[in-house]
Amino acid sequence: MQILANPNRFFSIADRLMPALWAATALAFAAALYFVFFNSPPDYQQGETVRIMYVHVPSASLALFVYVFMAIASAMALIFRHPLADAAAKAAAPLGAAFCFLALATGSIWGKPMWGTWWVWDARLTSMFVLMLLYLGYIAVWRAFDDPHRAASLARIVALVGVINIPIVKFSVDWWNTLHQPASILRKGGPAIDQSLLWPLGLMFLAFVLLFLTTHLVALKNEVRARKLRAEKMKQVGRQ
Amino acid sequence: MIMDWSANHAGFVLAAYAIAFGVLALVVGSILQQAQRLKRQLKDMNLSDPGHRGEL
Repeated sequence: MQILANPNRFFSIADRLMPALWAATALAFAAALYFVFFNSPPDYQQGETVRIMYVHVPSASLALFVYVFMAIASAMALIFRHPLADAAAKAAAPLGAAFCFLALATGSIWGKPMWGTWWVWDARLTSMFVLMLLYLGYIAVWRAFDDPHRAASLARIVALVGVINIPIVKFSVDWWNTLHQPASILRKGGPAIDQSLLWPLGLMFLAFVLLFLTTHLVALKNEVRARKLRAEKMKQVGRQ
Repeated sequence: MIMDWSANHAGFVLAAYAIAFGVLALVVGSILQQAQRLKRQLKDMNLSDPGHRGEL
C-alpha cells in the first residue's frame, strides 16, 4: 500500500489500469443486460418484476461494501497515516450514497407491486435508510470544514462509528420480523434462487463492482488533483 | 425467456432500470466532468499532475 503513497506511481498505475477497467465494465454491463432482458425467465410468483432484483441486489450489496471500504480506509488513515486512505474514503462516499439511493429507490419500486406499498418502516428498510443518512452525513462533514485535516478527523469517526450499522442491515431480516424477505444468496445451505436467475444476477453484480472500481479510481485521482490545486492556491495567498 | 413488456407491472421494471441507469450515468458523468475541470485548472496554473508524497 505504501507504494501507492507516491502520486506519480499511483497515477501511472491508475492510468495503465483505466482503459482495461472501462472496457471490462462496458462488457460486463452489456452481457448482464443481455441476460436480464433476453435470457432469463420470469419468476413463477413475481412474474416479470423479478428483473428489478438484478439492479436492486447489486446496488444494496455495493452500498454495504463501499461503507465497509470507507471504514477500513478511515482505520488505515488513523493507524498507518497512509496519505491516500482519507482521499480513498472521501472519493468512495458519493458512489456509495448513489448505490444506497438506488437500493432504496428500486426496492420501493419493487415493493409497490409485490407488497402493495412503496415503503414500510421495517428493520431492513429502516437500517438501509440510516445507512443513506450516514453517507450524507459523511459527505456533509467533508464539506462543512475549510480545514481538510479537521474534516478528515471527524469524517473518520463518522465512518468508523457508522460501520456498526452494516451488520444491523445484513442481519435485520434474521433478528426481527420484516416484510423484506430473508437472505436468499449468502445463507446457510447455499442460494435459494434458481441458477437461471443467479447467472444474470452474478453478471450484474460483477458489472456494478467494476463500475465502482473504475469510477472510484477516477474520483480518487480527482481528489489528489484537487488537493494539489488547493495547496497551490494557499501558497499563492500566502505570497500576497 | 425474453422480457414481456406487455406483462403486468412491466412499467415498474422499466422505471427501476431507467432510474438506476439514469443515476449511474449522472454520477459517472459528474466524476468525469470534474476530472476534466481539475486537469484544465492545473494546466491553467502551469502545474503538472501531483508528483510527490507531500502533495497528497
